[in-house]
Amino acid sequence: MPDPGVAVSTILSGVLLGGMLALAALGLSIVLGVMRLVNLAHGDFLLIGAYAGLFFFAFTGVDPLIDLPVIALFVAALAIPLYRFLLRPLADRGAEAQMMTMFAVAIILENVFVLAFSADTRSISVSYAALPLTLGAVTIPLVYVIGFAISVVAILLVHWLVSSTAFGRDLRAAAVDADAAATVGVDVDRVRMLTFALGAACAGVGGALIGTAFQFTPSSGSAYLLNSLAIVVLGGLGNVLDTLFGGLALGALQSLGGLALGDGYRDLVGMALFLIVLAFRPEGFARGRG
Amino acid sequence: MIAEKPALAPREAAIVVAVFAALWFAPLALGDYWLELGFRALIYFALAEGWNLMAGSAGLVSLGTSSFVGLGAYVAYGLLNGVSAPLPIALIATAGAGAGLAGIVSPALFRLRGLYFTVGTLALAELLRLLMINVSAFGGATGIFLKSDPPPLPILFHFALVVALIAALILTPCVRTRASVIFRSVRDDEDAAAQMGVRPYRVKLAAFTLAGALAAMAGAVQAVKLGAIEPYGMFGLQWSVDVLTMVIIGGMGSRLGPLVGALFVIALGEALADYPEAHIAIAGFILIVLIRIAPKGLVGLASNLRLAAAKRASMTPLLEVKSLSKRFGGLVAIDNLDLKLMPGAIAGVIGPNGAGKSTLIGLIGGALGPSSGAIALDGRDVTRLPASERARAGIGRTYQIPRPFLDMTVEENLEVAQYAIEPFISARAAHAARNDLLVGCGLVDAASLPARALPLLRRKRLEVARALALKPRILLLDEVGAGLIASEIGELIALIKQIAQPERSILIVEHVIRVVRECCARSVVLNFGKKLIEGPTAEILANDEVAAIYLGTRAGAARKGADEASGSVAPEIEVGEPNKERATLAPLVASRGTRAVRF
Repeated sequence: MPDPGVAVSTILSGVLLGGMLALAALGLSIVLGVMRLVNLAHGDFLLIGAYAGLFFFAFTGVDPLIDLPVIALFVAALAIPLYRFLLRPLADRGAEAQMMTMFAVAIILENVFVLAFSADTRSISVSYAALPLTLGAVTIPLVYVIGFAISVVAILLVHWLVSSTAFGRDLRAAAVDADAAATVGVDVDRVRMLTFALGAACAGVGGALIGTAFQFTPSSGSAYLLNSLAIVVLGGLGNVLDTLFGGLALGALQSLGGLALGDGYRDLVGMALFLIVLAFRPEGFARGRG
Repeated sequence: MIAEKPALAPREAAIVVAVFAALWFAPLALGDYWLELGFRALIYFALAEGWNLMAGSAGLVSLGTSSFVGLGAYVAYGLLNGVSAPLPIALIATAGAGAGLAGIVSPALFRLRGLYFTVGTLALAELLRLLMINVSAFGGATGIFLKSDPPPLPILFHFALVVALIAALILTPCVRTRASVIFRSVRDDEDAAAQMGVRPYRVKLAAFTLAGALAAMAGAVQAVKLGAIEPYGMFGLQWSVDVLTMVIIGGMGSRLGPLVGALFVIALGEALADYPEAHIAIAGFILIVLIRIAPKGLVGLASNLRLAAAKRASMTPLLEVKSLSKRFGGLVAIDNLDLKLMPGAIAGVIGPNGAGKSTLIGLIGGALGPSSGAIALDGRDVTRLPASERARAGIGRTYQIPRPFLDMTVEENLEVAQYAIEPFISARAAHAARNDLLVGCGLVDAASLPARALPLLRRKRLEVARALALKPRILLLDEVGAGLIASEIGELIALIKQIAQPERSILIVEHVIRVVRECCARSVVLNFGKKLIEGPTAEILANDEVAAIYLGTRAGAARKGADEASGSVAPEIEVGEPNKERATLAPLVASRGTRAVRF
């Protein structure tokens, strides 16, 4: 058994990392809710954000955490043509066609990352990346705390957007019943496009945060996708803040798994959890749906 | 009389045996390069067949192929390295392991429907990959070597061939026999299937375990050929990508699809062998394009093209009459008539006595030869063909006054038509077809009566049945309603509606307006052998000019019985013994010219 201080530090770090991933999971969740689409390229959207943060930082020297709005807009801008040219034409063909299309996008992106950026493991190494934050025996990286705080702020921002704006009202209406929303004047197609862009932006910002705090490779996409799905399942679909708690829970459990079995098992815990939760909670994704 | 389609017809079985035998001896003729490609094609074929069964039949779209491929590889290595099991025994064991894994994870995965099942299989695949990377007992990230030398390529090719054969043989019954109905019901609507007594869980489990066993065997053979395995490759998503590409390229749920898809993916792999990353990315692009333009794959695309061609064909008229005229001495019975009949259309021809209606039937049916003009059946000129050849070409007619072979039984009357067009039809098939016709026309109880014994309505039914025995593409009904009482006309209308088919056109010449009104979407009015008017039946019947020629008033004059004007009313005129060639005294109303009708 490792030293209790180290254990607590590890778990706390995991929780903070889970909080950052929760932002990406939120993007997945709202796309699922509004478009009934499991975006299998979501993990790769996250990586786009991470690579964008990496290269913005490398070329401009501006702190990626300050760049976040730019990254959000960048990833959202990439998502809009994907929606218009790949997803919208398939809208009346059932969810599978869209999902398989995004699966294809995911494998294309993964290989584009390899070709363009090599298969190296990367991390956005900001100056304060290694700075520790020490509270007694507990030591956690400062950048985790900052990333977590930004993620929580972003999640609250999305929460406000969904619950208190006109766009959010349209979004919620389209999520409950797209046809009914359309009959009362909601431009469902536009809502879906903006939702898809918002989902991608969440992934991108989450990716930049994770890229700063943690590490990534061109093939990390599927792991981040599945971890995000695990968060969605743990938190349940429908409530923005539940997703945050889902993220915290996943982070804690992953750290526990890593502590008990070895660091390589972190991601494995997420996937096992995903399957186990679904097996024991058959309503799974369906909770909170209209 | 309905025999179930056998899982494999004798001829198909012969083809399978022949192909199998040819492939079995292929290593003798093929060089290593082609043998290698053939090996890969067989492995991919088995994977695609399994996937196709799950998705095409049971509706399970899986991204977890690699779970089973990897499992098969590791189990086979364990048995070969650990207990030096012979390869065939190891293969059987891996099939069991694949089925076992499917059984173990199914309680969790089958709670998920549709998309979520797919996501679940993806999670399973990643879970197993990470597990194998991390567990050092299984070789960890570096993998394990096969201790013994792999068998030579021809032997491996034979193993792959056997796996592919098993895939084809196991899955054929699942898509061909009564099992396919059960499978597809689950795919289409699980809940409704359950209400029909189908157990969706068992059906899905059967498909999932079969596919799992197949994928495990394929993975094992592939792994033995490699000589060394590691988790990134054997549990890699590449397998799912390849299978998905194959099935989507070939066509989900189609029989030929997996083969076409496997060959395509292998050809693509060969073409881009030097650029592995680009290869996968290009496969992704192809997936996107295919999902968009050819959701049923290349096989489906081909059948879509055939459908489109058929649709174009359906835009050409089945029957086209051009400037047709018929003169009897100085009397012009049909005067420069144009007519078109689209496939599947039921059209009416009405008009007063002597308008040329029965002459028209005679001309189309071939009993009369035209004075000038042309008649084309489905684009083929039949103007010069005699009646018997037109009957064989697909034009069936009835006579206004029934003309059955009076001293022959009802059944024999039909046999005449059947044996004329198909002299070598089997007695059994002929009997079955005849029985269908008798049932359809309400003559079953009269089958062995001589036609002479039938009353008028039943003779008319026999006329229709006999014409139908020709399997006509165009059925010409000449005043079948004449001489019948109202209730009998109701029966007749029901009969006509029943024999209507999408690929069969019916032309009804009729005085009994009710028949035309209820059966025909469009109608033509003839007067003095010319087309007076044509269009939707309801409009025709409400037309003043039409009323005028029936009622003997001039066009534009006040119609008698204003109450009749509101309905689609033209008086029903019963004709006792009409004289086809006698011109009526009904006033000629200005013709609107001869614009071609398209029904």
